[in-house]
Amino acid sequence: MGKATFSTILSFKSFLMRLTLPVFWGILLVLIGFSPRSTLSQAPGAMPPDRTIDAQTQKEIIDSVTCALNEIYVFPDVAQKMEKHLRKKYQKKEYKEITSLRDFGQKLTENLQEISKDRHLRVMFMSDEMLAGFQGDTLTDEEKKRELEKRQRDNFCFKEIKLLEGNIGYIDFRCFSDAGDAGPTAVAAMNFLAHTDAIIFDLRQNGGGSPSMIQLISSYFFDEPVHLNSFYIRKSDSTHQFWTQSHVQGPRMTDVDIYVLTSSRTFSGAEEFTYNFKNLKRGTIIGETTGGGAHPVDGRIFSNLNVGMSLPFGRAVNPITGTNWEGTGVEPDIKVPADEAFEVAHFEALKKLYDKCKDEERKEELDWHISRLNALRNPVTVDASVLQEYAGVYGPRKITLENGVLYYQREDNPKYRAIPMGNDTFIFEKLDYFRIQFIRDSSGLVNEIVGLYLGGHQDSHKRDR
Amino acid sequence: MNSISSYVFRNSNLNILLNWKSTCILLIILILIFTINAGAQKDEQGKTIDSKIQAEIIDSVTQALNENYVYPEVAKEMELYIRKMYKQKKYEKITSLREFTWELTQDLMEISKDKHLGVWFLSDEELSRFEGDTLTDGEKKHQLEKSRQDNFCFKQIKFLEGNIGYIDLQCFSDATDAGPTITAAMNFLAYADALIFDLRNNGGGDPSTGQLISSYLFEEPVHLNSLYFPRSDSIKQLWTQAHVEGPCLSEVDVYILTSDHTFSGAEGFSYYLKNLKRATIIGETTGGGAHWWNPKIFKNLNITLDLPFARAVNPITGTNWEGTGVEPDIKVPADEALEVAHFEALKKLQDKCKDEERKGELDWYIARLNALRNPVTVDASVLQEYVGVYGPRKITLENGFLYYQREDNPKYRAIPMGDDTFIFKELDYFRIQFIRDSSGLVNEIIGLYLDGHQDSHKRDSR
Repeated sequence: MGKATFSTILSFKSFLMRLTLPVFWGILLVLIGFSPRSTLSQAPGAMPPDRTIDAQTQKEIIDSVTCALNEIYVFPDVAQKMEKHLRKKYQKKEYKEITSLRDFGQKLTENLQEISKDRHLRVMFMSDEMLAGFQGDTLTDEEKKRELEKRQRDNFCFKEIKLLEGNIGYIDFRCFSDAGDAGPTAVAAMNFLAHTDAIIFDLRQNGGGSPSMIQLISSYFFDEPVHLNSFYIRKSDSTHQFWTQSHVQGPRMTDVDIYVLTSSRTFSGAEEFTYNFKNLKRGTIIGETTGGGAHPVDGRIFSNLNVGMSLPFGRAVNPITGTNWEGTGVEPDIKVPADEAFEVAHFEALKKLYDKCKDEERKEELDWHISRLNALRNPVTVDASVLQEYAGVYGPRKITLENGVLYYQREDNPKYRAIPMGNDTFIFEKLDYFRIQFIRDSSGLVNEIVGLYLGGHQDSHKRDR
Repeated sequence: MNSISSYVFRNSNLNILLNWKSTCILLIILILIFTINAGAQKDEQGKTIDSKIQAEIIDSVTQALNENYVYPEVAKEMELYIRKMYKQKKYEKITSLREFTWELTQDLMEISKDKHLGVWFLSDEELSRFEGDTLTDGEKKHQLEKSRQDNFCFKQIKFLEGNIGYIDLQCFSDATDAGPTITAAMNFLAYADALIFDLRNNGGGDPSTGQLISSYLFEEPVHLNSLYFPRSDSIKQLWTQAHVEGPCLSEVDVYILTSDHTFSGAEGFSYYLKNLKRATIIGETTGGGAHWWNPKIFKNLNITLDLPFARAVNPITGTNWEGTGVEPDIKVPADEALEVAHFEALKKLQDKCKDEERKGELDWYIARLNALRNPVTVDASVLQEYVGVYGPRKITLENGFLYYQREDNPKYRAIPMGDDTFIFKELDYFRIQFIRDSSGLVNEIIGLYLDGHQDSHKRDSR
């Protein structure tokens, strides 16, 4: 059996939209037709490669596919049901009109998923050029090298690491690349975040990948080896356990709070990562219920038929729940639309840090960021007539009201839009360390502006007469 | 060398002085946003002083300058000038120590033009954090903790379209502490084809970070810079180290983004990589500070003096960027520098690329970036010709903008790139092209994907 992968297989529709997202790799990547070399030269409007088939070839494909399913597929009874389903459809001549192998593969995939609901299971057309990259069910050495280079150039799906306000680390990665190759990059990412107080893993565009990367990253967040997950492998009736590693390069982050962002597109290995952290009570999941695929897959190629299939050979078994997320997805702890998950996670992370913080200086800093984020998310509405009360010149500082929006400018510095946070106080989207507050005299007239800085420093100016 | 010696932006805020090692970012930003306006302080006017204390301060400051300032003759000139101002009773009305130090700084700079040089008020509380001219051990520990919490000024690393690594670095920390973070950053970027260092908000710091980063950029030890100490007439050379942890990035194109507040150590890094022809500088001429300074604290007077005592000497040019700043290779406003650098990086990669597949990919990104930067204007009447339903795909015109939607997927605004082709800001791997029939009517839409894959739909009959 080739190297098992545990990756996204999307519906064909969204698959086309996401063709270039780097979630498909290794054998699957080539299986599903991600082969730029063959297609770059095509003229606009040119048809993708295909093969014309007749009923006899269709039957041969059904024979091969169902045979492999009966031998390998994770649930033998489902494999039999699928076989019956396909044969019935064939006998009823439902495939009669189909002459394109590409279309036939798509149709078979649909029919197989009708029974199994298994989105990891697929049958696909493979052109001769794609087949040339394979030796049996695995890539040729030359193709492996090319694939590795491509994954390197994609930084093994690691897109961004950054530091958010309040010393919260953020990491965006779009697949779990095999740790044998991607290890140094993952280690670098973890070490870059070594001094953070919380980490947000953004898996909203992550379609899964290799369990070895799940293992490597997870290892940084536990003191001692923890049993993360198991694969039950049907054919050999055996179980493969995955534990965190006892050694990691660089410091561990066992006290760091973890947040995982999910979307409905978070799939497969990315769901395992999420499910593990959730059930080990090591992370808070924020976003949408995930896609719901818990079966590791292998590639199987029928080269004489120009057909490849991705074949789920096992299922995840979580040591805590005894089950997995196939079909159901992983439920987030905090359910919000995917595009709000980032903000919510940042806010939750700050609040949690604040609650457990003992240091007064740090607490004030966190408070500053929390109230700021709060004001940005829930802007206070201030009447234009009230805003007008602030407009004026305060020494080097100028407040203007333009189209109902208040602006702040100091001397020749840029002009910033002031966002009300209540209590005569305003923040600025682009300046995280600064806010202004207006002071009123005994009769309620605004007569002074105070600049408030993160860290406690202040400077003020009286209003010009 | 004194452990607190540094190479950062001249402090113009006292709170910040104490935190210089950790809060370079804050420091730089604060300097940009507000220059301290004497008398405008709500709190802490500083101690109240009389002309006798003013004279004492002038004596102490000028003596220290005469003993240590990087240019002895300028130190003398400054003394003459300050004493003249004192005699002319320029400072007579000033009773706030904070205000006096501000005036003094202005007058010292009037002569020296040295942005590293300054005199600052220190409250008793602030003084308690020092032992002699260095921070107390407790304070050092506190500062290190703050630096860690700030990730040693490494704010962001990301990958831009075309495998171009971007690093936002907002100060240069001491590599003794920041080493593992720097190493992690460089290893994270190990497979990038080009690097963009964003130093637009970087006010400098310790040379050891620049040294460590540069060590990844050269195969063999290279002489980066020297510091000249005029008082001892000695030179300290700065070389790249022979060994780095992880792969070397000596083949990778390097770009540095600068602004007019890129300063001191950040300028040093830009200057030596520019002169070694190892980096392309894009942005604005930098601030122009090439001196190494130490704080000199006068405890009884509640003041500290930022005292420049050495200057950079570049081994190639034999001089430095003091007063002049570093000239960029490509001069553009700071807020356009990233886009320009991304574009230049892609073009350079394409020029030297031998692999056809990769060339096609780079071409795609270049055309895309070009279209985003220089959008083609298309008449609304022409846009109207595209509107319609093409199988699962729908094109609509709303408020003069063309929108694309496929089934229930999100709706995206289509940006024209000419030739009936449109791109999408949010989708870097996808564009659409419309096909016209022989009579010029739009009758088909083609989805073009970065990998060369295409899918098309005929227009539904109206």
